[in-house]
Amino acid sequence: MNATASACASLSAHGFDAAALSVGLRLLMKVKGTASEARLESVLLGWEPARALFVRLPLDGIVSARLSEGELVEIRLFNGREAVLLEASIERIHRSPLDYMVVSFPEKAFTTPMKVPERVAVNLPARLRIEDAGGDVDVRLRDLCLRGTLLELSGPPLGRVGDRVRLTLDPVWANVASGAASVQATIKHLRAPHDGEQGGRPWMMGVVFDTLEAGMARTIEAAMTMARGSA
Amino acid sequence: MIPAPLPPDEDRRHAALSALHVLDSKSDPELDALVERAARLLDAPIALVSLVDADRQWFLSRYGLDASETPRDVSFCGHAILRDGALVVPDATRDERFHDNPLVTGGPRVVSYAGAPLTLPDGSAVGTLCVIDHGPRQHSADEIELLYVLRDAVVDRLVALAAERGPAR
Repeated sequence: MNATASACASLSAHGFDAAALSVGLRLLMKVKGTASEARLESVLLGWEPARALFVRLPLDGIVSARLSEGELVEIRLFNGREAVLLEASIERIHRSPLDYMVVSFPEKAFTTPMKVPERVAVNLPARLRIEDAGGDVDVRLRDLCLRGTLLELSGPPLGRVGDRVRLTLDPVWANVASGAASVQATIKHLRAPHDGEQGGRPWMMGVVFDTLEAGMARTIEAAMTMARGSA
Repeated sequence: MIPAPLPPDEDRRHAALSALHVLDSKSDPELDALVERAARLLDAPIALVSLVDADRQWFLSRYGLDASETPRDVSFCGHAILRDGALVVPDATRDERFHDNPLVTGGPRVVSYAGAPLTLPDGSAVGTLCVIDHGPRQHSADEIELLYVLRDAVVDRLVALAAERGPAR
């Protein structure tokens, strides 16, 4: 295993865009080429596009004292939309009382989108129809996002993972949301009451929406907004 | 050391793993890339796609580790597949389940571990995507979220590989 190759060289890097940055962003840094390659935590104070990043010196004085100009640093950051890995070099260190350093503006970065959608806890009634099983059953939505929902069932599930279902929202809150009230979905997972939990818990079913039409997306967004407001 | 108990659905879980047709197969470039991403973006010297077989954990993809398998009864991943969420062990030397585990006291010296179960669409947890470090480590919420993102991509790839390779491989 070649565990020492340059991260940005071994992974497909692309041009680094300042849009990934925000003041106050937490940075996880590692000085390359040192014996320990100690991890440092710091904060982004600002930047000059295509020129430099301004980074607070780590609070650990011992660690900060070891840093020197010219050293290569590997920086990781999470900006809410993506995980970013980049390499740069320390150009200038301003020690106490300023306590910041100037790091070269990275030319390239490696990123991975963080696609986990926001989930909101809800407690909303709905009806569930499992295709080919016939009949509707009452369920409650327990969390919700634009990709799917977690349902609490009132009894053992009629369907299995992979089955297609139709979820019809209760007209009361669907009308409040002024949108569509029904969506097709696929059962993604089922959790039995006894799966490592105390007795008395209901069956839970996770479903993923097949295609969310604009009207239904608005309905769900409205439900999520209402749930956030009442939290 | 406390070996992981067998999951209640072990027979079904193992059947689901066998049906993937990936055990003892050659590595897959897409999985290798995902494992490298996990290692780089989580700043871990070791990252693995570990499949928990009947009596071993076998690494379909690995970064930073030469071994291709270890016994199941010493595996961290055997514990991780029992959970819905990730198993995070900040310091195995201080954890009664692992402190005298040979993987901790000897090579590859697993001190911190974070593993997200690879749960197939039928609910079977066949293994983990995990990252390992040789020192104590407290993973941030962002890092665990990234582990989940990459884990989901690994599961998608496993399902695709099963469809490609099929039972006749």
